[in-house]
Amino acid sequence: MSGVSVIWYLLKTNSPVLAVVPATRIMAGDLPVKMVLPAISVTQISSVPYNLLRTNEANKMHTDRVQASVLFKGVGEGTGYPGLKAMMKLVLAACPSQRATVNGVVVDSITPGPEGPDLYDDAVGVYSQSRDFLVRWIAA
Amino acid sequence: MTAHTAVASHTDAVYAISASLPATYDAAGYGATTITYTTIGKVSGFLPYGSKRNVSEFVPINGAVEFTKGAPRYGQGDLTLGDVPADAGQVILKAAEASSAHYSVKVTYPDTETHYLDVIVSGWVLSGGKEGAPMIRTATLAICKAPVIVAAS
Repeated sequence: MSGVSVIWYLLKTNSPVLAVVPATRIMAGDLPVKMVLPAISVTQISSVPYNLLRTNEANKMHTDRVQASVLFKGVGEGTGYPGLKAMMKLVLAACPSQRATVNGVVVDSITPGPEGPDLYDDAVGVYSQSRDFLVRWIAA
Repeated sequence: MTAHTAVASHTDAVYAISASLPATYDAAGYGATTITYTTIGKVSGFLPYGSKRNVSEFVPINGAVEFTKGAPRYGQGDLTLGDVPADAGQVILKAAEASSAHYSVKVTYPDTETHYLDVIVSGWVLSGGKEGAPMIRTATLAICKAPVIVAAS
């Protein structure tokens, strides 16, 4: 969850992202039904602790794989595929690697992972794509 | 906690080090209150130790091969750690590498069985850089005397 809170916070405090997607539409977890688009959903894929011989030793590092999924309405109601592609670049730029405390989480580093495939739901005319981030953070 | 009667894991073993040496290399000497052990933080692996001897062989022209045992080796290998320069135990390990002196290592297993080792530290090496890889410190240890083992109470 900590990795999610880091990426969610970085996205919803980034001006270029907010110029396209309001902060209220950048959410941790699944998006609610009838969500107005464009929107961004930030979810966790996995969280792997770095275990030492003494498992309860303080300041344990975790590596969270976090997925930021961007959804755009298609042509007619939104900017569609070009808008999605432009936003994917903004999402990447909004989450640079850093060693800092972000939203209360002690971050070791943030590594961009792979981008997901282009998805299109022709029933509702929604384009979407995701970007993974590997967030290394230190538990107190 | 009583001594383990089933297979036990190394998980939660505690490694500590001291620059002090015991007056006598036995449980009483290592357990003396004059020796202060400092816990080594972020340990991720420890070398195997015990006693191992080479076997020499003589092959006669006629008759069975004869084997003889050599001197015991008590262990030599790597102690691996997550690198934390400010960790008090790691500070002592680093100093031990720079010194020619022997050091005392205390290993406390989860069931309280305690092993005492007389060591020299011959390496203090940081892992090579790689994206996403943790910074790992490797201390190379050689154990110079038979381990002193105090059974779990």
